[in-house]
Amino acid sequence: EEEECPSMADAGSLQQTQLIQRLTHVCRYDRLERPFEYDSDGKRLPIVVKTRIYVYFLQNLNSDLLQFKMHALLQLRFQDKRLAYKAFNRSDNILGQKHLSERLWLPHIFFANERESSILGTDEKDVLTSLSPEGNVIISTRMQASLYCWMNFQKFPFDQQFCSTVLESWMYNTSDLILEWEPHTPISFDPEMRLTEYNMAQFWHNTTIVQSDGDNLRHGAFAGNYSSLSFTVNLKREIGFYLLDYYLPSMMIVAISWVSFWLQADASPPRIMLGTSTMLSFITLSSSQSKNLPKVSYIKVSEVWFLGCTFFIFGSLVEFAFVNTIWRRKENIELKKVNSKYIIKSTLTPRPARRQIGGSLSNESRARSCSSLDNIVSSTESVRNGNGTVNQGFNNYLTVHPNLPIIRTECAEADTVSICSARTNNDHIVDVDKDKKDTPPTFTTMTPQEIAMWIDRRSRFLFPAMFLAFNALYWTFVYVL
Amino acid sequence: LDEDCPTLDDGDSLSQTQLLDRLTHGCRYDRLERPITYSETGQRLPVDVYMRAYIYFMQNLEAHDLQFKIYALLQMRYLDPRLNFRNVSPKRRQPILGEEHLRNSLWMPHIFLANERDSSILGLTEKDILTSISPDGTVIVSNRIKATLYCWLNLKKFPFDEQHCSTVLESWMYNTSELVLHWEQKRPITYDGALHLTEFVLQRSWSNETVINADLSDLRHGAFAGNYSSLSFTVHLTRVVGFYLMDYFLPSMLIVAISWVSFWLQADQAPPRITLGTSTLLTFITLASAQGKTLPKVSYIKVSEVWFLGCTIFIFGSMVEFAFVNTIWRRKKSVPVKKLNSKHILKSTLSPNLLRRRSHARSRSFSGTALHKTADTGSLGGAGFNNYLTVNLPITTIKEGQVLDQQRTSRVVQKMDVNFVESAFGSMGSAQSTGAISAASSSQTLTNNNRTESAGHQEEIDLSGWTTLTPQEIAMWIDSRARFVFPLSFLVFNLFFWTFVYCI
Repeated sequence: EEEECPSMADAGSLQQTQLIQRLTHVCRYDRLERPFEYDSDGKRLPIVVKTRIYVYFLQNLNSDLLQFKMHALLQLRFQDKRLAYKAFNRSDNILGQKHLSERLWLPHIFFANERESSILGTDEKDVLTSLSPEGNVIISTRMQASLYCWMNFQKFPFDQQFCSTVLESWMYNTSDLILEWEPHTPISFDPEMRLTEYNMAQFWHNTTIVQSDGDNLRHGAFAGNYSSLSFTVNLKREIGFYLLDYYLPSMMIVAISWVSFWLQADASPPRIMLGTSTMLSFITLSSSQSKNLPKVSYIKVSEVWFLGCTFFIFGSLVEFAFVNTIWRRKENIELKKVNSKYIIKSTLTPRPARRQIGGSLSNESRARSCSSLDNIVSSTESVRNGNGTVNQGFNNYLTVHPNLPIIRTECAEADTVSICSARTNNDHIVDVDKDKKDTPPTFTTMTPQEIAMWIDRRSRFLFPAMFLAFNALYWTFVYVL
Repeated sequence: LDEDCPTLDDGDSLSQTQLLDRLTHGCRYDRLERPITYSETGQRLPVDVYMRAYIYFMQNLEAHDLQFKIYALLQMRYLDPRLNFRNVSPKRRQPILGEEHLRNSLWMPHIFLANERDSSILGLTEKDILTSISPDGTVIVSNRIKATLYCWLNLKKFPFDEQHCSTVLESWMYNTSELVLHWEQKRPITYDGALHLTEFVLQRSWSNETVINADLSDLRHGAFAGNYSSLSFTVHLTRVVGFYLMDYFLPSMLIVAISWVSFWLQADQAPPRITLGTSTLLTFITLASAQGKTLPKVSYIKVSEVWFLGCTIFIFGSMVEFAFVNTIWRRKKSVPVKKLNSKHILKSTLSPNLLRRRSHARSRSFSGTALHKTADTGSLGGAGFNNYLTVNLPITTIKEGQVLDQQRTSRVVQKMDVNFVESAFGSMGSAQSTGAISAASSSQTLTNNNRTESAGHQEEIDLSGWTTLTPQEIAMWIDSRARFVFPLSFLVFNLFFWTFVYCI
């Protein structure tokens, strides 16, 4: 076999290909074995591989698949003294592509959080190999990789993500191979790189040792320490899209539901239409936002907003039900003073009102009958007078009131017909005077309609104020925590 | 051929590549044939292959495609005595390490994933394959793979479901008489510490070794019948329900509660109550359809569908209640009830036989009343007060007759007399009424007839002793009851639903 080994005596006059062929011949170069260096004690030293990455662009984080795509140039630099040809009086670098790299020993670097990776290139793979007279080997590879990035959506859409690219030695542990970043600008990005949904705040690189042992079998049965490089990008989500497409429209939708408080309490069709339509619009708007997110179980910041707005729209509908029920009552409410405490207290106590009419169910039934008839009379009066000014409203009120004694008399008709006949001849003015005397002078009387309008007027300020407070708490929480 | 075989005598002075070239030379190593070991009795033994898996991460279960993705390191270990280099190279004590190139010159057991849809070996410049040969001939091969595996999802309890997804490894070529697969003794399956799943929680996993019988009825190995060794490991995944609670169940509870606003409105207000019912149903279906988009179309009832149907029935029920109440509101007859409680009110309201009899008796009276109203409006110029009294009580007719007698001609009086006579004849068939027809011109006769009718009416009221409710009162009574019945029923439905979800 010794005679088969090609001579290096005339290396100075050889072609580049011939030189490479002789340098990498099997008799003096083993491409499956790493280069060995020894220190002064004769101990083996590990080979040091310098790494540099130039990122062309990052594709958007895919929130649903928890991955991002990177297009980069990966450069590895190491020294292999077996390939030194300075002694043969040649001073130029040898350049080659995939054909040259296939003849050399190369460190096997893999991405630990890789989902998919490949080398770019249309006709040939984009691999550039450079060999210097001192034996320095530089390998540049244009590649693309889909990398796994665990995202935390707790503060979505005000979140920031940290995505790492982890390079590890595949075959050799730290006693044989050590990975290091280049001293100057190991990570750089293309100036034309843009991200549509995120803003790259900062990035940093790191060098660590990964332990592979019985508990962490990331290298299989080959225990030991492995060299690992990583660089991390800090991506902050651009919130302009979400402000314009989600938060601002939802504020408008909630504000539309407050138009209900400016309508009269008995205007049921428009108020119901406002409440239900705003709820449908808001749910349609919200479901389009959460379409691209994975189904995480914790409460996101956007979900707090969703539930808050839903409760406000729901509250306006509940307020309408409350106000409409009060509007259709028949008893006036007597108040000590005209302020919130007494109005609410008197409105929400149904027991005394029932007791005033009478204790037995039979009397209650008759009272209801009277109320129903009274309602008919009231409708007739309102039809005759039309929707008029305050004065007509006042007249309407006075007109309705004197009818009450007559109606009661009619209800008592079953007992004494003669008394009923006699009473119909009485003067109405006397009845009005009698009622005025019966009323205690220290109490103010409000009709159910007045109470309903009072509640609506208060809601016009209460709901926007509560919404402003909710917004103040929300945005404080978003930007402080 | 014997002189072509390279010698192994100077194994220590050879380089690693040269040693491997000679070890795997064709004269002493056949890479297409498995290593053969014999027992003491001279019988051939199968090759024992030990497997180990390390899971880097798993991608989410895709319910629509019934598959999941796994990124793992798969390791095989077996003994090949032909590669023993302890004798020929005693100074080499470290294993020989190599990658794809070394693996290509060795015999490898062919292991495939039985439930595989797609799989490949990861790697950038070279495949991520690590091969090691120990001095005693033990071969260890590690592959970094990614695989898309089929996983049958049972969505009966969705979104409170648990799934079991398996990874099945089988021998492709050799049956159990030639090759047997085993898991490693210690920790065959391990997971990366950074393993996260967004929609599921990994509860536990276990591994299993079985033998698969391939015969003419099970052609998973084609025409090669026999028993094949099989390994599998299964992961137990539990779905996290927090997302569905906040995005589906809680909003749907609010939407059903909105449909109850209908019971606080008056029964004759059709436009708002109809809008409320239809809009809440549309909103709820919009919310529910967003949830069912990512699921396959299975034919059994899922737990989320039980909730969907329950909420739909409640919203539908509120609209049916409105139709019922609105129909009652628009009735014309008051309903007598024995007592003011639920049983009697519903019984009286829903009995058509009684209504028919009363309707027959009152049809003529109603006709008379209508004629009364028309005549009054035409003759008196629409006095509201009198109009009201005239509609409800016959006693006021006395005054009405007197007024007419004083102001109108005998022709009008004649017309009124005919109406009164017909009305009296319809309600009472007494001889006195019949006699009144011939004496129509007399004002005193009119007074007598009215007095008789009034007495009869009084008798009826005294005899019955029942309370009378107007249709409007019944409608309002039903609405006020619905305000409690519907929320209470919804609470009971929720109680059963969540009990079923968490107990079964």
